[in-house]
Amino acid sequence: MASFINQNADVAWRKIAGEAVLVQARQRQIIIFNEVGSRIWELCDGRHTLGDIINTLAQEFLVSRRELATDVGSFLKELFQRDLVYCVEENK
Amino acid sequence: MMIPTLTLGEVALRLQLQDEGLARLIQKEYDGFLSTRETPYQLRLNYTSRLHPDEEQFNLTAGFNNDYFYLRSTALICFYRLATGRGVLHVAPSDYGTEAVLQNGFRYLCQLLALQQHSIFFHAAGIYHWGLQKAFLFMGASGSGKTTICRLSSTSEYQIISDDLVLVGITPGGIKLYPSPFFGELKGESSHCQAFPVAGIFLIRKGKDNQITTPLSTSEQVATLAANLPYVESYDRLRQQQILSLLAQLAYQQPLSQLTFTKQPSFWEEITFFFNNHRGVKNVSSY
Repeated sequence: MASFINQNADVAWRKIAGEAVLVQARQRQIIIFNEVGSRIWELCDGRHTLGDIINTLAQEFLVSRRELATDVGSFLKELFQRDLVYCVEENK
Repeated sequence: MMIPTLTLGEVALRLQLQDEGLARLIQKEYDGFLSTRETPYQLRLNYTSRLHPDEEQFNLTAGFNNDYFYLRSTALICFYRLATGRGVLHVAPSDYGTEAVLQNGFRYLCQLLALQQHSIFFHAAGIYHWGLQKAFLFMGASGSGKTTICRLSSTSEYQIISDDLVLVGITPGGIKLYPSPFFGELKGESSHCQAFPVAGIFLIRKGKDNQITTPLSTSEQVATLAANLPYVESYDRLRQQQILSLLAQLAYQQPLSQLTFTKQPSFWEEITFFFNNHRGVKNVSSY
């Protein structure tokens, strides 16, 4: 079983000048992600696991997986806490 | 009975009025914003007795249910079918007054219709500068100074378009400001026939000096603009996405600046200097 990370369908967003702007209307919150945060957000598409996201970022930003693991993990933890993403368990 | 069309910029909603009293009220309250324009969007208005036995609740609940946009409070129920552009609104007596209840409903409905015309309502003050022949938009949180800006501009050199809710039309050809019948403390002298080209959008705050800065990135501008929209929470994801697209287009065409102002009309000198230096519109970029 693998945990695929998906964006909450209630969140409206758009990438503007390389940065994702999210509208979380029920919470009356508007959130902006920086370039890396925006890329992580894009990868939360229901087709990538945490490991997949780290691998993709490591290739795109030329950073080691070890360096990324902590940062991506804590970023995603915040997304979960803010109810911006959820996990889908599927056989990979 | 005449069937008037509530007209705000490109937004037009034909009102079918069944009740003479309601018709008179609409004529009085929306004088200047009624026309005979043809439109596919229609709303039938009925006056009825109390709608709910619940405790009086002025605030509307708004949302989408399948093909319908709905509004409801103890004094108003409205169903508007999105596919056909036709709806019905029932208004009941209220301690807050039928005018206030109706206006509350119209504000929501007009915002919905505005989106279809590439227009958005902003919580902002809109002022036209006769000398520059351009309009300027001033937005900010409650207490930031929108009404103060309007009061400081209450001379023949300026026209106050609205001190509360202004309609902004966003097209590749330019940004236009349209008057609305929705006012705060100051009622303007505008009508639906007017359209004002916009040359500046300012996030305002009171300070010790007059100063204009452009400290925000494009994404921050969009977020700031979004924070000054009414009723965003009522809309579904599709329309919120649409709003974000329009805001991005607005930010690219007319970047948001920050205006710090003293409580003196001299802030207009700063705006005139800004206008002459930037000529209002930045280059339009693809995105």
